[in-house]
This record gives sequence, C-alpha cells and structure tokens, in this order.
Amino acid sequence: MRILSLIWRILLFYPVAVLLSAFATINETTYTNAIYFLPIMSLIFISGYCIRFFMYRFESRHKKTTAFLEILIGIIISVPFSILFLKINNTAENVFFIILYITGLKAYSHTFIEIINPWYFGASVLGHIVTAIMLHSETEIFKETPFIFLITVCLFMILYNHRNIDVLMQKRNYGKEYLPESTERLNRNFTIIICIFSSLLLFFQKQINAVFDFVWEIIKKIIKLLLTSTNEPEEVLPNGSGSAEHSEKTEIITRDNTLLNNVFMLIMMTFLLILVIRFRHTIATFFKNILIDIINAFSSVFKSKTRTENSDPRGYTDYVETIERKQTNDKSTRKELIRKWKKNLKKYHSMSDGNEKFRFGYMLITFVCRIKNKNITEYDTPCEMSRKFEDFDISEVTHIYDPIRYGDKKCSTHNINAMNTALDKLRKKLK
Amino acid sequence: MSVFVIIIVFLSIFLLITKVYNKNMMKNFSYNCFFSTDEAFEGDEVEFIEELTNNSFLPVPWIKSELSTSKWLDFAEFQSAVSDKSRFSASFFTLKSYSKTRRVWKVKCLKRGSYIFNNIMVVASDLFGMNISSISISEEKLLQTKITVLPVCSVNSYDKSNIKNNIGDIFIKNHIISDPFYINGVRDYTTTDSFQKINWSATAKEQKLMVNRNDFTTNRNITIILNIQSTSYDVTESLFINNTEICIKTCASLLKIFLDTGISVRLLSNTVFEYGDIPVDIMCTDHMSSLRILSNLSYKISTVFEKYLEAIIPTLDSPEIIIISPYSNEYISSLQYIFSNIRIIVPDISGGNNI
Repeated sequence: MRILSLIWRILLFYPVAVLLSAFATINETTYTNAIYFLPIMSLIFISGYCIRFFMYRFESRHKKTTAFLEILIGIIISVPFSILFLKINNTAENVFFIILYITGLKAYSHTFIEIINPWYFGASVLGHIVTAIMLHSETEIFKETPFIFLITVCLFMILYNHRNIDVLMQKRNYGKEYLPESTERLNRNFTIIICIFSSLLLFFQKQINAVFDFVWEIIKKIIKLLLTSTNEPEEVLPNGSGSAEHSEKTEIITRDNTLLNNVFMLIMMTFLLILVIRFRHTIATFFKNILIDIINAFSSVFKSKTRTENSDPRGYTDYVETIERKQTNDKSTRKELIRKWKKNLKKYHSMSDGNEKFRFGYMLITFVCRIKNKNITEYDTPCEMSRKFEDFDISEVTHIYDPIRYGDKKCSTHNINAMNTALDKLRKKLK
Repeated sequence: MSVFVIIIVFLSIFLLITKVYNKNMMKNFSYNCFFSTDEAFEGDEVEFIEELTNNSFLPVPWIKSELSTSKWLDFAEFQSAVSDKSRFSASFFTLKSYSKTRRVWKVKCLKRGSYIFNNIMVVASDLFGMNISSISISEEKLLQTKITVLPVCSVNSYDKSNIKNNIGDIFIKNHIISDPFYINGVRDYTTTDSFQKINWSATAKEQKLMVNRNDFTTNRNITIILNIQSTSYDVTESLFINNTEICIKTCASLLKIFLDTGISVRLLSNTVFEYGDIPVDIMCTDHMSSLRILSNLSYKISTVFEKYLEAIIPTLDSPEIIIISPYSNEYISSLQYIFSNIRIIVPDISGGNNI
C-alpha cells in the first residue's frame, strides 16, 4: 500500500513539473518546454499506471477488469474528439491524461464502489469534454497547465481522502456496516465542486479572463519593477530610436526570463532531490522488486510447465500450473480405438484354434466396452462384464469362457465358431 | 475518414471478442472446492481449497466465485462481509489458457458446529465485461465443503478427586447374577451351587460344605444433563451463546475425564440436534464420538430446563447425575439437597472468550 501511495504521489508531480516549466517560460509566447514535457510525462504516467494496475491484480479486491473498459472508453472519447474538433495533439494528450487520471482514481476506489456512485463516471466524462473545450480556448489564462493543476489538486484531495478511507476500512475489517457516511458525502461534494468549477470556467470564461488578465498584468508589472530595481539593465546605444527602444525591452525580458527560468529550475531540482533522498529506500526496494518480477515473468515464459506460488497476506495462497493439452478429441480417440480393434481382430483370425485364441477373442469383446465408453474395472467378473453389454448379448460366449479360463476345459471348434459369430456381429455393430 | 475507420475497427474487434467469449468461455471450465479435513477442533486453522481449471485455448480474464458460509468460519477477513449468521466472500481469478489455479484459503474455525458452504456461485466474464456466464455448484459438490468443528475441553472446576469415587463397580441389593469377584461371607452349600464356589477353609471350620456368598454389582455410569439455556428467561433459543458455549466446553472436558477412565456417560440436554429435531439422549462410549455429538447441538430449546428436570430426574437410575448449567436458581440448587446423587456445575462464564 505504501508503494502504491508513493507511485501516486510521484505521478501527482507531473502537473507540478509542467506548471513549473510553464512558469519558467512565462514570458514566451509558445509553451515549448511544457509541450516537450507532456509526452514524456504522459508516457511515464501510463507506464506507472500499468505497473500500479498489475500490482492491484494480485490484490483480489481490486481484480476488476472494468478499469480496462474505462481506459478504452477514455481513448475512444478523447482521441477522436481531439483529432476531429480540436486538431491539437497537445490537447488530446492532456485530455487523455485526465481521463487516465480519473480512471486510475476509479480503479483505486474499486473497493468502495458504494462510495463512488455510478454517476461519478458520467460526471467525469462530462468534465473531460469541458476540459477539452477549455484547453481549446485561445485565452492565455486557460492554457493547459494551470487548469490541469487545479483539477489535479482537487483530484488529489479526493484521492487522499480515499487513501484515508482505505486505511480506516482496513482497520475495520472491510465491514460494510462501517462505511463512513461523512467521507462519502465529502467525496461527492468534491466531485460536485469540480463539475461546478469546470462549468463556471466554461460559461464565464470572458469575465474571468478579464479579471485574471488584469491581476496578471499587475503581477507582471510588479515583477518587472522588482527585477529592474535589483538588476540594472545594460546601457544601450545613445542614439535612441523607436526600434532601439523595442530591442532594449526585448533584451530586458529575455534576461528576466533566463533568471526566472533558472530560479524555477533550481526549485524544481531541489524539490526532486529532497524527494529522492526522502524516499530512497522505498524507491530502491520498489525497483528491486520490479526487476525481480520482470526476471521471474521472463523465466516463466520460457518454461513449458510451470508451478508458481503467489502468497498473499490476505489469507490465501495461489498455486498456478499449466495443464497438458488434450491431444485428441473424443471422436478421433474412438476412431483410433476401432482401428486398433480391427487390427487385433485380424490377429485373432490368424491365431491357431485353442484356449489362447478364445481368451484373446473375449478380450476383444471387452475392448468394445472401452470404445463404447462402458467402463470395465479390473475387478469385474465375466458375468458383470456381460451385463454391461446392454445392446449386445454375450452371455453365451461368457458361459463358454468361464470354464475355459478358470477350469481345465479345452476349447472346441464349436466354441471358436461361437466366438467368431459374436465378433462378426460386434464388427458389424461398430461400423 | 480515418477516424471512422478506427472506430469501425475498434467496434468489430470488440464484437468479435464478445462473440467468441460468449460461445466458448465456459466450455472447458471446471470449478471444484473442498476442505483439507473433515474434522477440526475449535480454534484450529484448516485449508479450504478452490480449484479452477481452464482446459481450453481461450483465457478467462475475470472469474468471481461468491462463497457463502457460516460466520464462524473465519477467512478472507479483508474481502468478506459478515452479516447476522453468514459470511459472504468473493474470490477473483484470472485463468490463462490451459491452466489450473488452486487457491488455498486459511480458514480459522471460531466455534464448534457442523458447517457447509450454503451457496457457491461462479461468475465469469470476458475482457470487456460484456458476457457474463455463471455456474451454480451442485449439491454434491457443496457436500464436499462440510466440516465438523469439535469443541475444545475447558479447564473446569470439577474436582478430580471425585473421579476416584466413580471408578469401579457399585454394589446393589439384587441382580440376576452375583459378582464372583466380591465375597461378603459364606453360606451353606446347596445342590445348585458349583464346586468351584466351595470355600474349603470355611468347610473345614464348620465341618460341612460351605460356599462363598457374592455381592451383586453393576457398572458405574454417570448422567450429564446439559442446560442449553443461557439464562432462565430464554424460551425458544439460547440468547447468550457465549454462556452456552462455555457450558458445552465444560461438558466436553467432563466427558473426556469420565470416558478416559472407562466410565460410560449418558448425555441428556433440553435441546435438539442441528440436523433434525431429534432430542438429545445419547450414551457416550468414546471421547471423539461424544465431541461429534456436542458439535451438532443446536441452540434451540426443546423444553424449559426446570420442566425438563422435573420430567427426566425421576426416570434416571444412574448413581451419579451431573447438571451443567450456565446459571443456577432456587429450583436447580435445591435438587442437590433433595437427591444425594445430583451434583450441579455452574461454569465461570466471565472467564470465557467472547464470541
């Protein structure tokens, strides 16, 4: 559980990293760094999510394939939607990211399916579409990163809340009667807040934009003022003209940008370094376990017959083994047996008359039982065997067989003829 | 255009998988379950085994087996829901092609009784959860899941020195045959007496044929009357099963003491067996069979204990009667003053584990 929480927390820093990178390039018109970050981080996220999901697979209470279905729905909704209407790959990636994120959240909360109601998924899909429209907006304030960050914060709160419920329920032995109602209500409220927030942004984007732009301009001016007061700009050429002034401004902005970039990069690196040092043991154990799992998985692939044991702290142990494939089906087995019987019949006819021939003939009759799936056991007497032939009467042959097999009686030609007749009839029946 | 092609391809794959799974998913699939042992003692940990076999090429990505049993079989603590008397648990599997999964649950037997998995439902689904097929387990297979949990013996207040009094035969006034091992004197020889019985020293002394006079004895047996009521106010069923369970444990330990010393015990109780409304009146001869009897006692009250005692005590000819009851009242305590052969044991209820 700790490892899962750690993965989630690391993944949560994805938008933070994007946000930092976006801030680092605050005065640039294009979000080059952010765009550069997005696909890589998405890839990390997806692989992280897959690892997490496969880890859940071994915890039976999370073993539900509906998460696969949700991913599929997410892809079907987001990718064609983005390609058709938005025509921006970056946006598509973002939407895909959010869908994956909420899918992950859903998978995480599978144990508490009663807490997250079915309408939650519908609301999430609606939220995604709203987000996509938001991201499509040309307004600067609605560029991807801040919005994603806000959504992520909300989701993080829900996620954190769920983690607490998980811990609580684990203590309460997952008794349904102890479902915390207050936390359920809190979750629902968070979801409603997200939906309302998204809707507000959609419907009042112009007004909000105006307010934010105004505030943003002030902040920019303050930053500029502060930077110009601390760092004196280099002197420009004395013969000033309109174009010269413009180049001066550009130079200041570029220098400001470099400074900000460096500051944010420093913060980000320090932050990551602290994280790595803080969780170094956990990370090392996690990667070690993954490596062992991968090696085991590969070794099991090349083994034809395996027997694995998955011990679970939840009170059970799994033994998985590969079973032998059926070489032939019933029909082919029957054909094979008939062929074998006919081969033995030829052998019978080639034998010289005597007790041995009669006994071999009787063996052929019992062989028919196998062909007709009438089980003859080792302890069956000839009389019991003859009773198993419901569709064919062999009592006459059995009557002759008993004294030949168990007495000293010698087989006569008449007896052999009786056996021949019985075998002929059987041969015709087997056709 | 390409988007539509992608969607069509997606849909066709989806439909194909759905159809294939619909037709072949449960064709060569089998489910089996059983306990590792038929009998266990209270508090023991036994194994419950679920065996799933997929004998086809098609993997089954999601299988759920829903198990329903008594709440006194403790297993899958994180995945089970416990209601009033039942425990529901769901077990999830993924089967690869031509594979067999054997899941071994550790089951802890919390309380004595005879348990069976009431209902097992196996549900399988394809990758997208569109086809859901289910198998209900036959009654024959469900019978394989029967386990008898025997009660454990508790340390009780029964004075073991009393056992000494209970060992050996008891002298009685009259019987059909006299006991040749007990001689209480000599008498004159009669023509019906055997020569073996002649006491030669007495004959020499009396100068006439004298024979040994033997006592009449009978086997010592004890009757235990178990009160299933937890309080005197219980009418149809025992309300505080913890109290009743302590009494049963005490009874088990007494049975062990007596049966080990070779004393046969008659067990009576104001309850019925779980498998039918048969009144409890059993002659116990060995310890294990007596534990099996105790494990099958229900909490139903056939007759109120006081009335039961009134009816049963006059019919008993046992030299010693032990009454085990979780409570005592005036009537019960007065019995040991009226009848000298009655002893009452009231176990210490406060010391027992709460169930």
